[in-house]
Amino acid sequence: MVADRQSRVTFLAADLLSSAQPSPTSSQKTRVGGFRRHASGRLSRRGRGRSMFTPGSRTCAYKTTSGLGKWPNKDPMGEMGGINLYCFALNCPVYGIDPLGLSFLDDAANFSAGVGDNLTFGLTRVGRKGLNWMFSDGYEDPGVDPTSGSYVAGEVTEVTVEIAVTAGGASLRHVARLTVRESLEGGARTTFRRANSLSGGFIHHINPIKGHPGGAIAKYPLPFKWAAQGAWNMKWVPSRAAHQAEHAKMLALEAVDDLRESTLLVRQAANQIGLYLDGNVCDWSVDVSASVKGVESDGGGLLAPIPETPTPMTTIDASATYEGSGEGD
Amino acid sequence: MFYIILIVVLAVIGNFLIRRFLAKEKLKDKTATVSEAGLPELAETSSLPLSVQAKDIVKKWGKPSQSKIQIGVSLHPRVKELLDEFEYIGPDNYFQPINRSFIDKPFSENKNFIQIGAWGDGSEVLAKCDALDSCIYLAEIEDGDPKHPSIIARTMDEFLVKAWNLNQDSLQLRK
Repeated sequence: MVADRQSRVTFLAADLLSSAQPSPTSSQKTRVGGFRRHASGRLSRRGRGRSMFTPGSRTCAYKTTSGLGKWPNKDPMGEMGGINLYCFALNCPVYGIDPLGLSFLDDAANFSAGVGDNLTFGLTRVGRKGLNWMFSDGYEDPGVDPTSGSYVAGEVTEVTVEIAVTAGGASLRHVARLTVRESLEGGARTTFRRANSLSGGFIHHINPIKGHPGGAIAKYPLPFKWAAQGAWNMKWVPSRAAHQAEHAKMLALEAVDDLRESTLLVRQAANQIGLYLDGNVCDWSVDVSASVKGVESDGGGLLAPIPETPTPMTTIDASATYEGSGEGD
Repeated sequence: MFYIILIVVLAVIGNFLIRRFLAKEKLKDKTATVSEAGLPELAETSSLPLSVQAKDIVKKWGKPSQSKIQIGVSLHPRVKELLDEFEYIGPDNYFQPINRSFIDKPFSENKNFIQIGAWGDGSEVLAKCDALDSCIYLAEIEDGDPKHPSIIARTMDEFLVKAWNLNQDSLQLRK
């Protein structure tokens, strides 16, 4: 890493020198990339405008007292946040901002983890831990911070959306109960037949306008003219059995949604309990050490390299004395 | 720990309330559409006024038949009369509310009925196998129970007028 930084600094310095300083052999006015350069080393206005990536150019940089331009919005953490100082703004510091000093990608990851964990009883968290155990080190979830604001925002958003969807469905059913199908449809299905030259069979509404066979109101009906009369919502089916099969599909989806609706708060609670147990009660981390051909792994997961030729186990002589200064080398 | 207990208690109470609400909703849905005694209800149809006479509709839409139909069941005399006189009564191939070709196929959902035509959406138009019953029924899939067809009109003439109005609605939509 240190070597990388040094080479990067060397490269930048060389780049700055070569572009900002005039060559001693050049005349007072010369051309760089087809643009005029003044004796001071600064490019002409036209040259400055075109040469975006030349250090010292003021197109995207501000001018410092040293006369050199610097790019704005460098990561205030410096190289502690990684060797790329503009990564926090997705390499676009001119347009990208990070006013809270947080990583955009981390926030997005935490937010989506909050949504997913709340939706799935926390099973997505277990999945992430499993993946970490398989491909990295330890049965834990280091990439997500459940105490972060974005994680909590994800949880809140998920619950809010679910409540809104549930309430929306109830409102639609209320409207559907008060609506007469014929007044919505008129002769729309006959029109659909004529427009598509369909005789015989049935015209099925893909999204139910009111209900299903037997008279039960659909869970998310669309009791509106635009849905009842829209050709986008109609489908020709050849027989009564096919028509009923279409409704059976819809009813199966509604059953899944019933499960979602009735476990809304339990899922939220299960996720919270899982987080609490992770942090306070149980140590779920699994210390896996496998011995392959006499070589003991360091518990580094499945991807830990296994040497082709087994190294013999080192025998530690308990009676040996250590003669050292005590300061590790 | 207190936070967890609070969440669990709230979740249990909340789910109990949600389930009760859902159960009530389902009950409402059932009572809203199926009659208490399971008897057929009068289906709602177009609200257009009955501005035309059934005889005019028959004259305009009916395709006369050469022979009388042989039916093994007893039907209301007016229904039988129209089926004897016409191959079908309808504006075109896509909408034929009365069509004697359907009589060959018994109505599978309820043997007390016989299919005499098809409504605009494809639902079966039915007549009861009872000479005293003048009603015309509709076996709707989406809002009704095909085993208990709903009454679409009290008489054949009223049914023809409703079919006419539906066709007018359809033509208006096409424009």
